[in-house]
Amino acid sequence: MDITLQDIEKSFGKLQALKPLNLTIKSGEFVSLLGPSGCGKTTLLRIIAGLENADDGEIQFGDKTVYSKKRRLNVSPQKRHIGMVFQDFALWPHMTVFENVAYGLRATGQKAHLKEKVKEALSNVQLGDHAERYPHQLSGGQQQRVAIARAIANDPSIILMDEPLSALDATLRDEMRILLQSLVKKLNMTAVYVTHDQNEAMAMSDRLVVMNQGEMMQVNTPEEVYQRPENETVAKFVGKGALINGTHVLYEDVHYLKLNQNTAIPFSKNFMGELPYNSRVTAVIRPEHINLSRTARETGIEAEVETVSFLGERYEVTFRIGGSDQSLFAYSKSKLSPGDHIFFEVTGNYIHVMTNAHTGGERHETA
Amino acid sequence: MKQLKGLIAGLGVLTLTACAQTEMEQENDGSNAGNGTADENANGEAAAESHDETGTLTIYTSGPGGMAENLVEAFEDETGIEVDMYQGTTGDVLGRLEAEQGNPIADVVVLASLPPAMEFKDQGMTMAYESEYADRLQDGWYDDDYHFYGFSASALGISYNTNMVEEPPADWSDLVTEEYENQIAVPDPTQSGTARDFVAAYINQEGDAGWDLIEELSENGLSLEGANNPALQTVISGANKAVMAGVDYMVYNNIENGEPVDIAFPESGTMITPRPAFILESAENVDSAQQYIDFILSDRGQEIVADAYLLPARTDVDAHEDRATFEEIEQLDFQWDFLEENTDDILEEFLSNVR
Amino acid sequence: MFNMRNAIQTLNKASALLVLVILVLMPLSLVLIRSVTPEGAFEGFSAFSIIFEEQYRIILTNSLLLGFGVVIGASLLAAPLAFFMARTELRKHRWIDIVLIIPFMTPPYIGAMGWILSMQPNGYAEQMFPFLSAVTPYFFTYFGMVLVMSLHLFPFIYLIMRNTLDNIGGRMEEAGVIHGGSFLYRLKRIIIPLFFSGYSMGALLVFVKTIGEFGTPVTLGNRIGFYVLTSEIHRYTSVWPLDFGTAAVLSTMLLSVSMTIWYIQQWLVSRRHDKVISGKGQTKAFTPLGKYRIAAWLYLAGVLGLAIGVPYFSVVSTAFMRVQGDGLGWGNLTFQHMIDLFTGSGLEALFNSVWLAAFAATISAAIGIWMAIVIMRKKGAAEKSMDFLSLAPNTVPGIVVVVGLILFWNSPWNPGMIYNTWMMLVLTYVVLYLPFTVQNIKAIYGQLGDSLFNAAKMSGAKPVYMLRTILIPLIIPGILAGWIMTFTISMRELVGSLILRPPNMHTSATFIYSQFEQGTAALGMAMALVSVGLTTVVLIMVEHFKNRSQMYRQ
Repeated sequence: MDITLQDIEKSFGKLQALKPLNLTIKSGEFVSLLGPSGCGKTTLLRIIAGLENADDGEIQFGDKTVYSKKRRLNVSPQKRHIGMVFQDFALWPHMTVFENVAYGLRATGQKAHLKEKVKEALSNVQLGDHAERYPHQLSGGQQQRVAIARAIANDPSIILMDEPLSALDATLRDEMRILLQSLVKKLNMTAVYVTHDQNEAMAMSDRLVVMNQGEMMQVNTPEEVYQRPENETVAKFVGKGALINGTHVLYEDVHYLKLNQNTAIPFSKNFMGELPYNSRVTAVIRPEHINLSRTARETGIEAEVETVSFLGERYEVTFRIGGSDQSLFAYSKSKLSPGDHIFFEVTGNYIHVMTNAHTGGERHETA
Repeated sequence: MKQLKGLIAGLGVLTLTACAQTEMEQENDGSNAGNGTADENANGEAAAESHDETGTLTIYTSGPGGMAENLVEAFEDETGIEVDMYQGTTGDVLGRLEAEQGNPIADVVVLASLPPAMEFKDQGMTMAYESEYADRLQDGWYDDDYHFYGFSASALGISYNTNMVEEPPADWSDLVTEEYENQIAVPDPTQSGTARDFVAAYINQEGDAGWDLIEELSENGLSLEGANNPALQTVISGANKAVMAGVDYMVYNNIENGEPVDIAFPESGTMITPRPAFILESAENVDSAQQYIDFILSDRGQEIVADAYLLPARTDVDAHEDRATFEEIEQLDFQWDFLEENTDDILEEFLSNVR
Repeated sequence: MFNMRNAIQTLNKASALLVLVILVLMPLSLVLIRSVTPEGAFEGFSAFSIIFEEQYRIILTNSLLLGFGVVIGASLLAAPLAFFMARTELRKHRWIDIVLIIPFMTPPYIGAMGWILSMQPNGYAEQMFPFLSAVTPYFFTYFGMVLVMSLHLFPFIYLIMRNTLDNIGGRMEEAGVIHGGSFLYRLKRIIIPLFFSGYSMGALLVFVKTIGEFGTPVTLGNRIGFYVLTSEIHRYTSVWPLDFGTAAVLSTMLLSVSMTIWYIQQWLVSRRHDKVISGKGQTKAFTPLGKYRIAAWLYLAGVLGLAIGVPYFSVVSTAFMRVQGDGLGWGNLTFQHMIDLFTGSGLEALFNSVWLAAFAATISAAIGIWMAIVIMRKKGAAEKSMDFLSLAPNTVPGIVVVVGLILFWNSPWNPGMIYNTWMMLVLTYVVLYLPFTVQNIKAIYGQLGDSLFNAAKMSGAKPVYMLRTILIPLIIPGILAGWIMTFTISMRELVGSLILRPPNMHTSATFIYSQFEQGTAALGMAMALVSVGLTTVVLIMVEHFKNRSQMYRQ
């Protein structure tokens, strides 16, 4: 079922939590709302759920309007028929796992095949044999599975998830992520997922909605957002990589990001929009596109190692570009020491120059 | 949550409305009956039954427990009139009457001391009724205008513990001796109306010389011990050897229970306090109320009074055989008018002496 | 949809406010009005000039002295117990908590009477231990009153102290240790500040309860000439010549003292921002006593001996004694008073108390749930005033509330014909003890996350269904705690019952009181014994039921 949001906005007192925004989520799509805390992503989710009312705008599920300020229409959350998974699980402590999962069916009077439906939901989250336990007798991961089973037991076509994995530890989180991902696809639900964890968002989503200060910064596939962040905020929040400033110059048909009199880094044009020459720009270079070497090469640029951290399969190195005060970071297979002189180059000229260097601007949905 | 609140609100409002309605109806019923104009209404049945009365006689009485119940029971038996009785101390009864001034409920009031009844009469809150037995009552126990009747009375005396006192005290002055040092008490006059009247009456008779005794008693360790019964209890349990100006019928009751206690009536005179019964001006059940007044003055009523060790008001009815008779008790010479005028001042001076 | 929901919500809030205005605000306001209009017309505030008369100044000072004395006394009694029960091996023994509530269930006038019977000359203490006669006179002083009232009220402050200590998790103290604080320094900088807000609330309640208490001052205070505001108010409302005007002025004084103290406490607490964050995930501090625990047990036994042993010894002795004047002795034993109690009017009084208390507790619980729901979910001005009103009866002495209730419910313009019926008693109990229920329910409700209810909404649960399946089951402990509290205190409520009971009706408390005033003390004591015993049984039953409803937590 499609979810269409039109001109949704929301304020809490003087604080504008959501600036007017439009978004369409296609049926069966997995969309993540990604952003730092306080960016409005949870508010947006709650508005979709009906737990919060927008100050203005309209919401449609498929062709049914569930909220419209103008038409004074507001379908209560009970009747929106949505599954929802909460950050703190929100299991009812006084009910068994079975009763928790069966709750929605009972509440809406779907008594027929209740047992089968609950069993099916529980087996979907691989918890078939825990039905008679109480929530506090389960581990955190198991509790969240119950919460998921509860959300899907009603067979909703939309599922909303509010940082469902953030209360779990790292290994459990990966396991649960895969479970969630496959479950959502298997049941063909439209999913809206709120998270501040970019890896989670990129790994699971069909599309990302990057939010900041109540605004949507960029809406696109994870790959596109990663490779071509539209602005500094998105670049900083999604993926690793350093931002550097320079001047865009063209020299012998090659685009360069000129850092100073002596240093310029070449980049290919398909990573930029229409940019005037000789203007100041900001670019992002992802560490996996930087090659380091101890010996000078023709295209290599000299730099000095600042810090080195061991990550297991490789080292993460930050270094200062020679003759400038800007730093980048990259990976290295061999161990380097602070103070080492090295040379770096950017493979395939993978430098993304942002057309919109600063955070501002109305950025509506582009997909 | 919002709808949930709404639901409860709805219920609340419903209940409120429902209550309000029944209350309104009740009020209407009440006023109809009270005005006695119900006959004009179509509501003839209810009116016929209640005549000009609510059907139930409401009595506020200050004990003593047992006698009050016996009187009411016998009255109900004899007349078939139903009685609602509130029984408490004189203070409880007066407190309720005061609180209910805006909306009086009682028909008949029975108190344990006379001055409040006189005050009620002065304020026009009582209703006169000349009972057929009035001429057979002790002089001065009832109002000349028939507003209240002291249908029974208790005498004040010195209650003493028979285990601790060998020679019964003969007079108030005996209590000043060393024998009673720090073991002599009086009911607190701020809590006991009888003790309060006694102090005033004693000063009335003795004049300023009366204060000498009170000073001496105070020096001998006279303590104030709450109302009458709590004060008596201290004598029974041996905390005090004697209590002065305690009511007699409680002592006789305790003697009957085998407690080591007795009472002496001082030679120089004590007080007999009639217990007045009267009909309130605001009474709705005047007919029943008058019947009740007649009943407690009747042979049967006076017998019940005597059984409770109280002095019967009728000169032709004998007191309980185990107690001192009216004639055997020497009385103080005092005027109720004097008491009405001076009690407050005397009380204040008494307290400043004893406290 | 918009309108309906908002309208219902507003209506709900308005009616909740209305209920509180009728139950609490109107009666209390009438006390104030009555004190400035003694004869029906406004006479300015000259009535209050009596404050400057020496007689009343002494009474006010006495009330304050008593209040402070009891706060100190109760704190001293409770502090070691709270420490033992929060931090040491003794905390395993939960039954101690129930036993410690018994003093609080004991009607205060019975406690005082029990002590008097023991301590008076030739009392039980001297009969058993003649050498005590050197000590007993000191009981009949200010200190005796402080002792008796402290022993009655310390459970209050104990429960609050223990919970606060429980909530100051071990971590905060451990952090203090690691950062090198000495024990005293830790006490000063960590425990006492964190302890303060909880303790100050407990101290406030004890203070207000003390200056509002009526049983002990009337039984013991009047006997030793220690007159306080409540006993004087009682005198002006029940001893000829009655003076409701002065009673109202004194009530207003009492009210102002309570309010001032309450305000100071709120101000002190709000100045500190050391709200103890929820105890979840905290380690519980544990200080094993080892071989010193014998001292802890001895202390507990000592306190229980004083708080329960002494008064109940008197109660039991008196109840089973044939001739009071003959003193203790097996030959003087009788069951006659018990038989009289169950064959006479006592049984009916007891029965009345039970159903009135149960009824009042149930209504309180219902109103408490309603108020908690309205107050908890929003924080506007209306909610705040409702919060205040629902707590006000707790900060106002009972006798003031009762005077207000008479003035309000028996005024000619009041259409409610409740006055002079049993409903008035139920209403009085509800008003007096509503704060306990609201507080208890709010405390539990506050611990429940919003998401539990959001999850139910998202599951399609309608409000009523949600109320039934989620909210009520989860706040059952609070409801039951409030219920049992209201039931317990209503069972022994005296001042309101005494003045407001309808004709032909006695409650267990008024029965006892009238036995002391006019009848047989032994019968009164027998009633006290049966009544407290019955309350304890109900308490244990509800406690058991509460535990069963909480089985899922184990």
